[in-house]
Amino acid sequence: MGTMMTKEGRVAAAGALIILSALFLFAAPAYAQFGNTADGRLFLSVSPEYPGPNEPVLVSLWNAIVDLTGSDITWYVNNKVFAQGVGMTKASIAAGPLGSETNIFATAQTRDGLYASGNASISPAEVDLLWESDSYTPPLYRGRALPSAGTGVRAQAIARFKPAGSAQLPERDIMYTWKRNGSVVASLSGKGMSSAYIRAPALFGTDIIEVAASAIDGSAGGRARAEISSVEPVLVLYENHPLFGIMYNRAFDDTASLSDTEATFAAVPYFAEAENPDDPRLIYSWSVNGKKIPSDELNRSELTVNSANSNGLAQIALSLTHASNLAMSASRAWRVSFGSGNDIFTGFNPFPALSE
Amino acid sequence: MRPTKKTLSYVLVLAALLMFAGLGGWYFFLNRQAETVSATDASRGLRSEAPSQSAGNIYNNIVSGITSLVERDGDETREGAPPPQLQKITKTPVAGMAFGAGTSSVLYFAESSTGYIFSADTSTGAVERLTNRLFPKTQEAVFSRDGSVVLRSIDENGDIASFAGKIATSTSSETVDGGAMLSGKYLERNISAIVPAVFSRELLYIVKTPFGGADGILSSWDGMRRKTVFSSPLSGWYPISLADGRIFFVLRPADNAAGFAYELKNGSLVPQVRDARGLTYLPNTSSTAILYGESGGGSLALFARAQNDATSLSLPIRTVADKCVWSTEGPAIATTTTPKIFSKKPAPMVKPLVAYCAVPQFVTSNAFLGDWYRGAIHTSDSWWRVDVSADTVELIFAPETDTPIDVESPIMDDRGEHIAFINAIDKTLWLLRIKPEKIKTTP
Repeated sequence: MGTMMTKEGRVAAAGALIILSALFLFAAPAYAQFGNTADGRLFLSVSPEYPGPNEPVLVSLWNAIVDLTGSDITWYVNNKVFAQGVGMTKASIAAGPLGSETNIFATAQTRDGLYASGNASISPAEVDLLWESDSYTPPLYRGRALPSAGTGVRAQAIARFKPAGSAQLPERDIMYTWKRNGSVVASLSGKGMSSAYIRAPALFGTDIIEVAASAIDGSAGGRARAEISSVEPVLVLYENHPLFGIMYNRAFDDTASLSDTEATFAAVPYFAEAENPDDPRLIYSWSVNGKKIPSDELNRSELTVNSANSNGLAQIALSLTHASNLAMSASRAWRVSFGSGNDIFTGFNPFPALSE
Repeated sequence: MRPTKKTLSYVLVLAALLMFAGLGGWYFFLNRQAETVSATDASRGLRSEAPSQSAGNIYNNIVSGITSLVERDGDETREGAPPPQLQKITKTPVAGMAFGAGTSSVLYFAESSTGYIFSADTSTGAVERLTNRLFPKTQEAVFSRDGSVVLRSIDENGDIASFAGKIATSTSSETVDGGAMLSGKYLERNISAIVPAVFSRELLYIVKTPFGGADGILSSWDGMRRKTVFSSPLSGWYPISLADGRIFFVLRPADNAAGFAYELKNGSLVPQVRDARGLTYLPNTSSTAILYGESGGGSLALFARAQNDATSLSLPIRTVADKCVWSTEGPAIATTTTPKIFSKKPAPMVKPLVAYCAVPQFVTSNAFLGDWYRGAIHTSDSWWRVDVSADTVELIFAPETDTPIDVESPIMDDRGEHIAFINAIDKTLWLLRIKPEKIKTTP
């Protein structure tokens, strides 16, 4: 919509304000956006490129031919003068709420009498990037599954575009572009592709996942990014109690003490590449007091220790590896004292009268 | 060489001695086992005398036992004396609890080892077993206001089993052995999170889909009628259902990872909190106020937002929203700075925006949420009152240092007088009495 004219044309330009509304009607819809990009016309750029609702937006003017630093510049926002000044090539404007459209119009008059103008519109959008891993967590675990090497990451983009005066755009009318560490993942990108399955970062690595979402007609857009790091699987030991089952509320510390002389221990490999703790791909190597203990084929994640004929002290060590994932490895040791009359590791005894 | 008569007699004597020694050992072994069983029973409250009813040991063990499970701070309660501010209700682990509708003193809970449902009158100490159907190793119990319950456990395949049942009334023919049958049905497998939908007497749950995602389902209690209200390619969601009909879905939290909470409105997800690290979320019934916690960079922070468009306030207590409960205190009459003495209009009733939060006295982990959820760390909490409207916090109870309380799943009764919670250290049930606040009135 920008124009370049001589002084004679200024009369017509003086009426520009009157016909701004009409001009906006014909303005091509754009998000964050530029007016005309042809030589001799004002070019408007906005930062951030995809502003969110009510976010401050910095709008900048430039022109390859005209020297704007000495020009009288006037900014209009939604048909009202917003700012004015010589060489005012930048303006900070607040984006409207979701579903709004903010129209920006700028004029520049050079010392030579040249006149130029340009326009842009801002339609704020929101994009959320959610993720989780498909790594193992116990059935009623309240936290999120985190990625470890060899697992996968499920990601979901939730975009909210609401063109002015219309309903929120459905997912099918949104184009999604997924990037991993700056590179577009073409196989995951496309119309309506709001979710992605990506392999987890390598051991100790961090990946930057980005998603850009834009309306198919180009009227709005947004993006989001997440830094996702791989963690090492966390090996936790619990008691599998005959009455209460696996006591997920009480993880064994490095040193523990039990009142009973016999206990069944359950190892839980949080965030491992596994379907369950007894996944056949997991290789458990148990030892008690330095002696390797063959694990039960059906419950390889569990170990029962009876200290009836011993001094009641057990150094339990567990090493966990994966049959096909060489990056997965975890090991830990616990020193457990049996029959001590009190559960020191927690102060916990479900039957306190026994020790009173 | 043939054995002589003398040798034979030696062998016989030796055999007899060995036999006596074996019998003696067996006697002592049995005696020791009996002592252990007695001690175990005693710990659950089994009376020393023989049960007078013919109902059987299990019945008597539990019913008589649970009476003594009601504990009042070292049995120091004297007649006429007010109950202590903090009471330990059970000695054994519980799977979940709820207050009776409209009451402040009746507390229902499910015993973890048996799945039996009990009611406890916290003012008198009377405890009654309500059900007699055994659900061993119950990990979680979710109660509705009308006495229905969902008992959840892990089956032998590692799947989550959820039994939705209703406690038969005492006049029902199903009542046997002093406890009633819990009639109901198993819902579909692997429901990862479930809450009662209070407004519709249904259940709202998250179930994993075969492709790794999850569906949010509104279901009748028998599971016969179900409607998918939400779908996601991610499985780690938990639902929140409020009495005013609002439904929320919150992405499960992890320390330092961006968390999101949404309200389900007309089938769309409307964001409530976005991009908050280690997000824990607690919306308020009947208002748009929220409490939310963040866990990131090795520290905890708690925020309050009085209404949707208000700015979030950082509260000067460091905890997670999981350890908070909104107050159900009745409406107070609003005070005005310039009271209209002759006004005939009643002063507007304003419900104070108050929450109670258990705050760890020390946090020893840089990744608190993960360690806490895994049971790898426990806290010792004190209780704080948070007045969101006034932006103030006040310490209301600090337990004895030798009795650490790691608060989990706090709930408040309808009158705003008590908070019940589980101590995550041993899964025992506790009750905290809140002093009722004086109501201000306008002249």
